[in-house]
Amino acid sequence: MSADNDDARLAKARAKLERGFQGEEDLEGLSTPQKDFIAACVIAAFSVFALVLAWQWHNPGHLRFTHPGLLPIIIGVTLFAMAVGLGVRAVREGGARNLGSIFARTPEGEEQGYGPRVWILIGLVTALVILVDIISFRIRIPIGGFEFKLSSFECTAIPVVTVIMKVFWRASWVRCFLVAAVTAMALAAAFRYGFKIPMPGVD
Amino acid sequence: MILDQLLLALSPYLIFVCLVGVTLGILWGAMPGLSTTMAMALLIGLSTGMSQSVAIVFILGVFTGSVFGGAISAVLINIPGTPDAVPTMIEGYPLARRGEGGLALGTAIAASFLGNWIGILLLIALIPMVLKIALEFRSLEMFLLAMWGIAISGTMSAGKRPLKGWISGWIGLVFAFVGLDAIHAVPRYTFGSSILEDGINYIPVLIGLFGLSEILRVLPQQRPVGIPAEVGRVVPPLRTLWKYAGTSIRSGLIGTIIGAIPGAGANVASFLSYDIGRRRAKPEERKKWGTGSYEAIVCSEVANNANIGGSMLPTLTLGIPGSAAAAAFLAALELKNVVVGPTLQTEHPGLIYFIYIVLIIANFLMYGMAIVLVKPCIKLFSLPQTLLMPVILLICVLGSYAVALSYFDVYVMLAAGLVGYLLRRFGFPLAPMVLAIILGPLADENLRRALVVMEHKSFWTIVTDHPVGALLVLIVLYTFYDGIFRRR
Repeated sequence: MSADNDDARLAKARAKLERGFQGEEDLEGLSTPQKDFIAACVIAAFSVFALVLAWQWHNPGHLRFTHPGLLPIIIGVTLFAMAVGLGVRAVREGGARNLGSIFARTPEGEEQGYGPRVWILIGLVTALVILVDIISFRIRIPIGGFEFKLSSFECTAIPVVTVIMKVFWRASWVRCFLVAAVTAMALAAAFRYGFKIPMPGVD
Repeated sequence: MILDQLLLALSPYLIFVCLVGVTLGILWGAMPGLSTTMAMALLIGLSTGMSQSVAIVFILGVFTGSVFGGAISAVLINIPGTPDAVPTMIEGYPLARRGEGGLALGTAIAASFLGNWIGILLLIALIPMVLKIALEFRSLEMFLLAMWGIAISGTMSAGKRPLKGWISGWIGLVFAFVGLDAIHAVPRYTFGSSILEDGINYIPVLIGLFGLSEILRVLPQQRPVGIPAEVGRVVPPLRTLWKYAGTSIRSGLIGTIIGAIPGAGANVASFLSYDIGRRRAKPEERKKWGTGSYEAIVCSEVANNANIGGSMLPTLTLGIPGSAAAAAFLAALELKNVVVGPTLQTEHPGLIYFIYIVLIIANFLMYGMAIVLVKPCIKLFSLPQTLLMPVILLICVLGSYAVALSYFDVYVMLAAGLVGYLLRRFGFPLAPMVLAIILGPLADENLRRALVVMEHKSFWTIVTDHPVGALLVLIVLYTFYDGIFRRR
């Protein structure tokens, strides 16, 4: 079974090389006409928004060439043109039909449950960032001549990372907690004492 | 001056830092899913607490180590540690299955060592010439060069769909304009927020795009742990390399030239060198390609390592990063108040020699550490990504905060990570966006300055005054023409 997987992976890589220049970033298979069509609509709206804002800026100078919106307007117009180009090609390839396919539970070429797992991860990462910002305290414990510092960063990061590990690593809660605690404390210590960088919040 | 820099670079502490960087880079590169760019982006945050020389040594050590590191997992577990190691995987893994893993990895180590040398020597040879030309550049040329950098980066990173690369770059430009404009201090896209008046710091953007978005992509995948093939004794076969001397030099040249083109990095270099190598291989050797060819490993590994030197060329002389990883190096330099570009030699005398020497030291250390680290790396492959990625997430948070000790930057990193993830899901490359955010302010300021200077001049006077500018206009137009009409 493993040998079959290895052979399949090698065959896929060989086929990729045969297809020629694919660009520096491996984007093969990520585009569909439907995705391109939706992206084109969003980018067109974004470019119009950027363009309208740039148009409204006043020019304190006496030369039109020094207008602060000069390059933003040029970029807005050309970005809109590019979005139209992307949209037209997507429509020609059938991108305006079957738009629901991009919201399919398991899109083609994607493993079962990947999409929901991404959303869970985005939720947990956002929660970590917000919690580290809003929770702010510090604990200082003198041990001999050394002062042990514990900030809200470690106290917030440990439970959130424990949950992330539980969801994706699927080890026991105790194991996830221990790994999360050791890594969060070690990282905080490396930044605080090694690189002399204080932790977010009060440190 | 060179001697001072040599003595500084050879100080035991800096050699130790370089050794740590190279070791970390090799281990990082060997782990599937952890790319060189990700390592570089995360390290910028860590380097804030380091002195200038320590930060440069550490980051260049990691850069050199991680590009080679990708070959280890490619040969031993059939998963490329970095995307540029795919050709090495195609050739190295069948060799490992035949019990020649040690020899395959030895070839990769020796080829990487040679590739680095070719890249460094070409860098040393070409920098004085490029700097001389760059000193003649005025505002118009700098604007056009920045725009060409973004456009070519879009073309090179998006492959057959350059339009998507350009769109990514153009979105980056819009974000680059956020803040007070450089000439009149008019707030642009700030929505009345004083925090946004300082503009968007591109370092958290870099960490978000290459760190967080990768975590979001890789962590939810349920990839089984690889079972390493037999490795045997790792011996770099210098005689084999001598046999492929011509191939090595050709691949080194390809790697360096590709590295100097913004947006094209180790991946393009390795694939192109492999492709050209296959076409030019002798018939009896060509039969082995695809099933375990040492010549193919040499082609791929020499090119992707020579790319490091090549990518430094536009980064140091023009301030235009040759690759996404070089963009991270540029960011780290700027954090240390080093402004790279045509005036590098006058503003920071000796720095360029220091960088050469560090690259050479890192290369020697890479050669030694690669041989030592192959077997410990096998143990690393049993570590699941689901264990590593949450730790990297914490480094993303702390790293983006450390840049300016501002929590706003952490939110910028989060937003950039989410935007980066979405863009990738929709097939847009990320490197052009990073390049645009770095080059946007430079392009804006230089365009307006150039237009003011040229206000009352006739078209022909402008053309005759700026022959390089006229040539650059043609190059920019050709880049778009080529992308629109030839890559359909």
